[in-house]
Amino acid sequence: MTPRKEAPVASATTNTTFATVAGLAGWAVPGLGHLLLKRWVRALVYFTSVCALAAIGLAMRGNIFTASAADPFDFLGFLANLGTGSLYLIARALDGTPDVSRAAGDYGTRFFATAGVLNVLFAIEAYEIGCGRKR
Amino acid sequence: MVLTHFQAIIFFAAVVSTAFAFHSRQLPRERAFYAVKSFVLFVGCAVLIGWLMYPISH
Repeated sequence: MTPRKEAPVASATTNTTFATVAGLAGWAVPGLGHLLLKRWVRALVYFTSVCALAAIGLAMRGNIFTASAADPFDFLGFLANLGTGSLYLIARALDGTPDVSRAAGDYGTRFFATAGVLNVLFAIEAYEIGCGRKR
Repeated sequence: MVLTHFQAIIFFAAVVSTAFAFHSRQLPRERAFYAVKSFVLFVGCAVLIGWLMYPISH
């Protein structure tokens, strides 16, 4: 095999590795994946969006689900919350008292879950940009 | 923090519309149009569904 044929394979492997790192970084810290890919504006918008939803969700005393969920819907909530990456750990560390007896608390639960789902979407986008499938 | 239903939908619609616009459009003009359209649809649908449910509560 000639070196000319090996070069694209190595490049593709590097791209996939970097894309995976960008995706994981984007999941761990909202916007970080796009920051690594030099998409400054998107990184800022995604960081602000996810953090704002999560912060307001917590401030409204939304419920943060744990892995020991009582029913399948709670487990789905846990998966959505886990999508926020490091924000989930921060939310757990803050150990706020959820109050879903009022509408505000219930909205807070949805806001935090939305933050998680959006963050996963953005992390996948960072991966796809890294792979060259998206601009 | 306590937001009213309307404040909550305005905040939610604004944040999610902006994020979706940056996710699915490339040009600034297209992003602005998409964000405004999405925001109006979010709020409009919420208000419409709210009025449709009004007879249930009365």
